[in-house]
Amino acid sequence: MSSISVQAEPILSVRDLKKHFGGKKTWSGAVSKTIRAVDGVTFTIYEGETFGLVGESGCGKTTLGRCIARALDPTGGEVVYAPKEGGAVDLASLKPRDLRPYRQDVQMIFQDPISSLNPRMTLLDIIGEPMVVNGLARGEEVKHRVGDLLERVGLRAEYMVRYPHAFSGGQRQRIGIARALALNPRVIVCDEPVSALDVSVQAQILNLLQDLQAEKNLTYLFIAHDLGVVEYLCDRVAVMYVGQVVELAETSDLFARPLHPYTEALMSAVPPANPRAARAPRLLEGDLANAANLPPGCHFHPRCGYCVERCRTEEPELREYSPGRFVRCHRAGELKLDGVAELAEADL
Amino acid sequence: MNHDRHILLEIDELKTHYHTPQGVVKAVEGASLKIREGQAVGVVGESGCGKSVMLRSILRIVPQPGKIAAGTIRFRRKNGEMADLTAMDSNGRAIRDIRGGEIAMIFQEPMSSLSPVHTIGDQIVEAIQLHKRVPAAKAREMTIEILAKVAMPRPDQIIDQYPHEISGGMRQRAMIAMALSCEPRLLIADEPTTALDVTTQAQILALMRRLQAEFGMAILFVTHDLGVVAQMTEYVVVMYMGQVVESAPVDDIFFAPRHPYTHALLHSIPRLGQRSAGQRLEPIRGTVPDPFARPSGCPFHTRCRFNDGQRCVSELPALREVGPDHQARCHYAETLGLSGVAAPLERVSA
Repeated sequence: MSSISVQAEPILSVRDLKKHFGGKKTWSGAVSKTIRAVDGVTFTIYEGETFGLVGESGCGKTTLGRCIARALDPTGGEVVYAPKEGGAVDLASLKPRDLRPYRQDVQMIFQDPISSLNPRMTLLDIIGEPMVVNGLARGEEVKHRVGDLLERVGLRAEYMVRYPHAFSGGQRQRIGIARALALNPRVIVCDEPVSALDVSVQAQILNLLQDLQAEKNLTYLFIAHDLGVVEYLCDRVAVMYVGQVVELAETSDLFARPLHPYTEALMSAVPPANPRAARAPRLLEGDLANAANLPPGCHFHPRCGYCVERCRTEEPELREYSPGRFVRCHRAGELKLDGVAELAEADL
Repeated sequence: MNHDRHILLEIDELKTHYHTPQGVVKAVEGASLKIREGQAVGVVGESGCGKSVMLRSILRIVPQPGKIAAGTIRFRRKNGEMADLTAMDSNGRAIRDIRGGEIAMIFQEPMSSLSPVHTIGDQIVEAIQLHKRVPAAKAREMTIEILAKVAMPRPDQIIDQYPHEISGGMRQRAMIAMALSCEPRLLIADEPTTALDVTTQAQILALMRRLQAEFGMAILFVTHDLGVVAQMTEYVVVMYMGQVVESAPVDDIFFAPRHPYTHALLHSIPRLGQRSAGQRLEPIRGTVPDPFARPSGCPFHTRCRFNDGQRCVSELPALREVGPDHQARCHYAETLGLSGVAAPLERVSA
């Protein structure tokens, strides 16, 4: 995949997006702790690109994806969308009724192809219902369109009378993709679309997503924890750690020369699929920080091998290190961190 | 592979079948493998390939209605005698001594395999007291010691905590501690890091490597992650539809695979550093066949690029020697000229 062209226009601009859970009075009158699942995330996605979002479980990447698709209502911040006809709307603040025309434009593909399909609906209903609800097609026309979509994702049109249980995991994920395409969206939020699939099927789905993107000029927000998949598919990548973006860069730059110690740790933790490589991962101490009780200063400092006094007290800002490269670390640039090439060389 | 070491476990032509109202599912259909003392062997395969059923057959914990239909599983007991586990009563004294005492198992999901209503300490103490005659106070002491060995932070506090109070990585450490508490000679690890994040996975793998060296136990490592296989094992067994399709030293699997399925697995996964090579993924076409309708001939022929349309469709290939310590189940193993993964330097130079 080529990197994004210079002329590409922003399609989604996420600005200081926040989603907090809890902080409410419980039945006993006590106030529950506020969990800052997404805590001030800012980035821009350009039309036609695949924007990757990586991080470990609990870092807020799924919550962020859901806020963008308004499956969840954000606590604060903006998600500025540029509709086809021009202008700009803030999806985060629109009332449900006003949001409706834009819902078609932003669709989702989910991780678990079993629980995300209603077992009591046929494929025709699963894929056709959104078309009927949004007035895109009626009667026989729905069947035609569903048949076309099924064929486009590599299934047979006759399958539309069947129920999801009749299909394997990979086929179900194809159904989920067909449903997402039913409304001719411009942006698809893909939340770990291949992580529940067998390895031999993963590649089929990744290739299908790539082909559909080229054909329909789709923009993907691709959420994943598998760095190999992200490197393969994404044009730009944002790395998240407890609710915040800690680094954002073009994929090749990020993997060649990470600027944030967490990015380096993530990359070095992936066991190389090569028995002659003896990589010593930069092991992180302890576990992910608790989003209900964040450490002071830089949230990563208790696990960071490069931590200095300043990191313990002063929270770093996400700053533009060089054009298009953002990092949230006081010591970015002064540290010499290893990219995949150095890690691979250290293997030999 | 070190041939001086004794064979610890030898599975020979194992068949484990499930008799269901819809028909017979041949979950394991002729699987063979050998593990030597202290050796780390990897089992690779996709879901439904029979790897978990094979592991459960070893410990005789195959859930109903599964039954071992044929084959032997010979295990070298502590006293040096080779015992056939398939001949044992699945509830008998002998197999119960072996479970936990000589062969221990750790599972993929530490949350669902630990009891939520007992403390970590109670569960490990129980395991110790099942196999060793020690007073409760001594068993508790041993538990704290083993928790410290698996690098559990604050072992004297964690021992009195419940599984839900600790993180996923710590739960997996607790499970490993429990498995090691009776000093087994074989540890069966069923996808032990699949449910963990990569940074936690790296911690657990490093721990397992250290413990293997320290305890000198053999490990049967089941996973679908080729990176984990490459880093953790000496010898690899690849399974497809209940059969071993290839087994070889780990280096041969990665650099000189002989079975089209192994080759396809190596090339269908995006690996870190591969993008710069500008390759498109080569997926394996189709999906794993329905277990009720096993394909004729070679079970992989429906998805194989090299299917000849004749012999592959009609004749089941035998698992045969194709190199030193290297077996493959393919009619054309020697002539396909399959390529392994490229050397790491070529892979990343952009």
